[in-house]
Amino acid sequence: MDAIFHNLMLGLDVALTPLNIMWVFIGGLLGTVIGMLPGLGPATGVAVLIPITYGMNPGTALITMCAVYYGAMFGGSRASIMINTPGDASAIVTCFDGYPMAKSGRAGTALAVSAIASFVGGMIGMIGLIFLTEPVASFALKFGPAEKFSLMLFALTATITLSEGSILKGFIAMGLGFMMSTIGMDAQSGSDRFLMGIEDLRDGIDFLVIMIGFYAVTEVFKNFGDLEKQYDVDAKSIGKVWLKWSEFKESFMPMLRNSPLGFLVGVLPGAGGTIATFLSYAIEKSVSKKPEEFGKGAIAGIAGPEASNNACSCGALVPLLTLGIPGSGTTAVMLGALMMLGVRPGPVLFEQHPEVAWGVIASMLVGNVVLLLINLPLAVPLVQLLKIPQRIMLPLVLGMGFMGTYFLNYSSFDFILVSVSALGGFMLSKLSIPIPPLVLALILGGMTEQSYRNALTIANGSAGIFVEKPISLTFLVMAVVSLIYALRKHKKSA
Amino acid sequence: MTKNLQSGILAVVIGLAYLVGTFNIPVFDAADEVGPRAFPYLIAAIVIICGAALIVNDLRSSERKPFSWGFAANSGVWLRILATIVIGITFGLVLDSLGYLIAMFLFMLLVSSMINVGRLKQNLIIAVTFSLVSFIAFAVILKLSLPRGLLSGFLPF
Repeated sequence: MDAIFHNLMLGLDVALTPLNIMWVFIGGLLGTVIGMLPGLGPATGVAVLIPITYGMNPGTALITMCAVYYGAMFGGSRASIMINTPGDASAIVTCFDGYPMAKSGRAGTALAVSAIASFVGGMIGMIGLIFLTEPVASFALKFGPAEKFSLMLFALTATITLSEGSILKGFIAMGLGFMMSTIGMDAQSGSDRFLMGIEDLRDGIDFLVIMIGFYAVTEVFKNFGDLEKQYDVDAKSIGKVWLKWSEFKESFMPMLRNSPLGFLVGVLPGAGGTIATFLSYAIEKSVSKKPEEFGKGAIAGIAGPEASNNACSCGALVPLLTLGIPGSGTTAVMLGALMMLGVRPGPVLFEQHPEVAWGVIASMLVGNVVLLLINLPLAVPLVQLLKIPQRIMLPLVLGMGFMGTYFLNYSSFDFILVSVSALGGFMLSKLSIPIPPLVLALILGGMTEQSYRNALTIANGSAGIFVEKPISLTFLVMAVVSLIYALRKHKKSA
Repeated sequence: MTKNLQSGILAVVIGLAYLVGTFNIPVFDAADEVGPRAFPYLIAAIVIICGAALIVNDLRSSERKPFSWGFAANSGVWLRILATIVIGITFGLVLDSLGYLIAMFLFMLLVSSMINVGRLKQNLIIAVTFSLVSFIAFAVILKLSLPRGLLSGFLPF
């Protein structure tokens, strides 16, 4: 307990300088704005805002990026409430009751419930994060190559089986991600692999370039079909962004009930905000005394899922920070941003650089408070941004995407890479092949292969090592169980 | 052809091409015992098997909806995608010689003219503002080294 308190103070020391608080505010505000833009969402927000950290000292850059991530999470639901267009899948549920409330002139209440529930969910999630990171990180320090390989296999399998759509396509996406991760000079043997005569590929593919392609440029391509789309937001009809006491009482229990649930869902690799929010909505509807109000503007229908979503985004940081394993597209982009800043999340980070690891955690705590302050008084001016037509917004996103690509390595070859990956991302989405398993495999590919080879080398080439080690065997069994569960679910629904 | 059939064929083709590439990876004696080919073999097998399973499942399925890429029906979308790629790659090629400010101005002017059709004044404002603000923010305030190109002798900062 003392150690946790000491570490948290160490983190707050890093986070609570005037400069860092200013950047938490700016990052949170920008994250909210981009996360809010219709059809773009948090992953795009984090991807296109990476360049704002260039030139900063690493600590401030890290804190700014966390604020962007958190802001994007807050912003995602603004568009759901005001224009019935979720920024990403985890904000879909907020449309169910948020939009009917806005249509009946209670947009201010819906925005306030969503901001307060996000805050409460975030704070409860942070408490979980603070208490869980240290034990998980210490446990993970015991992992050898076999355990690491099996863990990554489980994380990827869970990502595929827990997401919607075809399992086979999920595995194909994972395979494509792994393929991309093997391009370049093999670090262990020095052999060139899959260069296809292109010398620029020798250092491998920078996955941040691919992510900007997938999450910024591909998203713009998807919106090309509807360029004249423009949303109408009537600022006068929003009303006061605040809650009456009776409304607060109505939302209180749903927030408390669903925050721990969302956090636990977030900790599981692969199970992201979408599962957490849908689960919370179903629970709230089943325990409500007035289930008939759900879908027509029930406060609990916003409070529960919104708290759950933000608690889930804190939970997702447990595997991200302690094991270096992201569980969703947004956390994958976040991992990319952290690695670009020279931070390699994993158990060693907590041991060797506690000030960085705890600085991130503390900055999220500060960010949560700052974002509540941004999202209540500034809600009305912020949602006005939803009025910006697609035809103005899309060139700006493209500009930021290409600018960010250049700043990564100052290489003109990256422009080819970002363009090809954006086209690839667009075609994959047309074929309903999911992008998150591909991105996750691309990021984890190097580590997965290294663990696989090291484990086999230790065992003199015997694959038995993966089942002989109890922890490794447990992860493999979990991977198989999640696969069987998903196959049975698919069979039932077919 | 259905979406699943096309996905399956694509996966098998990519998997086979990757397998051929794996055969061509040079293996040195000094390399680790497992070698640089083992993991790629595993990946190629996963992709080919999943692709083949997708094809078989699709051919056995009773509901087979044909899938179209919409090249003709959505030609505007595909042309814009093509144009974005051409403009983006050209931007990369001329960035050093023209300098960040001019290249970014041209990039923004071209992409916004392609998306925000027929509103030249708005597009000029977007292009000038974006290139100037980003240059001042990154090159002047954050001191990133950005190419100045043609304007290197004229810029006061």
